[in-house]
Amino acid sequence: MKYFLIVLCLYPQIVFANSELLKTELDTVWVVVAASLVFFMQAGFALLESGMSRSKNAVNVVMKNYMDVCIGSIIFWLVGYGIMFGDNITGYFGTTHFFPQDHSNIEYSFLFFQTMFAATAVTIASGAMAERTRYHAYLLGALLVSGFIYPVYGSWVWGSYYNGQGWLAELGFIDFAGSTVVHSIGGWVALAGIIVLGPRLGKFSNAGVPREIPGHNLTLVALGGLILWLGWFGFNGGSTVSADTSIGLIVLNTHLSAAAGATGAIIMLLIIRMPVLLTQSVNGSIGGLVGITAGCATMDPLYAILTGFIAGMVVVIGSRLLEMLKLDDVVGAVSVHGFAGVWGTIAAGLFLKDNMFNMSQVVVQLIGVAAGFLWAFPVALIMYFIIDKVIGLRASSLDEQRGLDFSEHYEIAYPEFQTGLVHKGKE
Amino acid sequence: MKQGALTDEISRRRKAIYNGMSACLQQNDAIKATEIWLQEFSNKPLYALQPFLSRIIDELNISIPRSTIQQQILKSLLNESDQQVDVPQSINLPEFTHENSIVPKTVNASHKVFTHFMDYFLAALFKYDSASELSIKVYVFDNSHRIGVNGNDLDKVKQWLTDNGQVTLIRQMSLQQMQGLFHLFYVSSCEYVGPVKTDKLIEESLKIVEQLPESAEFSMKNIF
Repeated sequence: MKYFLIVLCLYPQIVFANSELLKTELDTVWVVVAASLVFFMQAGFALLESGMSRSKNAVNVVMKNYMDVCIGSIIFWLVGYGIMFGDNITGYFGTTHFFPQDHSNIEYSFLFFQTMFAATAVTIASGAMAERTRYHAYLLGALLVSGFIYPVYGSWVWGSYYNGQGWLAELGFIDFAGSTVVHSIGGWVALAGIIVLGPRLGKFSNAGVPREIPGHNLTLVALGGLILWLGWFGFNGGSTVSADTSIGLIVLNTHLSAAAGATGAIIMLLIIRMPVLLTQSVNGSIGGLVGITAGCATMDPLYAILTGFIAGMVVVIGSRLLEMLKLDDVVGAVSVHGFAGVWGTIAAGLFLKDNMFNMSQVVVQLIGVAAGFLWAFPVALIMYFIIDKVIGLRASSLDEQRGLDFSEHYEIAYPEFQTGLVHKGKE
Repeated sequence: MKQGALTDEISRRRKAIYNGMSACLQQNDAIKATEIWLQEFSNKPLYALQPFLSRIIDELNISIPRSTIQQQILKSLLNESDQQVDVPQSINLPEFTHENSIVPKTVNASHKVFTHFMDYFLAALFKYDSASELSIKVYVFDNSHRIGVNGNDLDKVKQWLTDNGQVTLIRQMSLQQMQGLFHLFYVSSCEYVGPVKTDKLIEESLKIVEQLPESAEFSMKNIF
């Protein structure tokens, strides 16, 4: 021990170098583990969305989730990463690092982590558009979201990994893990999708009264919600992109906000005299998670709870608002990711540690939120409109009657209950 | 219900059905119709009147309006009295099985299953929401050209829709045409009573139709 201390005193650079290496290794391990947790969120999305859909569309929902990760990951590697994180001289998009190869190991782990984020943003629309969207048309939309809509906005906020900086980042916009960058953008894409699609057959009566179309398995919904909750620890905790001690506060805030989100949703349901539904409770907790994503690293736990609580209420009100507008969002994605994301981004400015209620920061947050909407919504609206006109986005009413499992995938989720159905191919 | 009580109840209904039929049909037809009821409808709830009427009009080529027969049967069922004549000895419950059915075999299985299904489904649908009956029929009427039936047959489909059950559905419908007709009802039913209720009514009707012997030859699921 004595000799070891002598060596330390004589050659401190050896210890420093080892410590740097260890830090890099730990960072890599943490980022990869966190990215894997974010990937696991796809299972959560698949379970939640499929559980909220009718059994005749269960395969379709899962297939959309499954394949948008696959397509989104490849496209993000091809072009998305370059647009989002490449040299960003203009502040509006990156221009280098397309088809990333021959990069450092730490860059690969960062790319892996960011690929999972892109996949998350893409998959948000799938649940909202469930039960009446043609499979291939949806995948084409997912391709464009992951390769263009998401990375362009991402470059405005996070595009400073190599050279240059996004214009929103320069303004001082705070979105630590993506309340707006990932979730609101996904929510606005979903909103555009459901507008172009129109509601499911019979969702609204002739008088415009919304009809409840219950999902086929609420156990899956709850399980999906819990998996998303778990994955979010990686989503927010991993956004440090390093294994540092701030992770403790980040994951604690994340957890508290989710808990408060479900509580806020329940209380709002009681206030407006609606039944306290499992689906709304789960959505409330996810709303809390979305809400805290922007400010999880820069907020005290008390304010994380407040942020989540209000986000849960926003989710409930948002769902009602969409129904009043005759918009059919099967899983409540617009409300959970879009509206709660807006609130969370504003809250990140309002409850900024050591600089609370700074209105100039709040204004910057509002600019970022508005920019997200004004970019993602119209572009997605045009995209889905063109897809609808060219290859058809909406499934036919006959396919809707038979279920998209049967009409789009040649297989059904629950054959025990549909034994007479034998797919004979497309007509 | 115990076996004895069940037999008594069916005997009571058999008598009422026979007397109602006798009031408007020739005796031979009344006997055949009662036999059909005994064989295939006596175990159904609420006498399964609409599907039964549709069936006998179709099978026995009866020209008397369905509403008239229905009225007589209901009168007979509601006003049981000693004046009602006894059922002929030949109409004996235990002897009748599906295998020795007197029902002519000329009508193909798909048509029979389909018409029965539609009768059950529509009866249940309009019972649930009678206010929407007209709107649903108008929708199907307006879109009936989309089912791929032309000329006289299309007119017959339209007649079937508008004549309040007095006209039977045409026999020569292809699978695609049956699918098309059902789909129009499905769409309008979803719009007016909602998809959840529609699916439930379809499921209930399917369960009943699956008990028909013809369902072994043709499954209604081919239409869905």
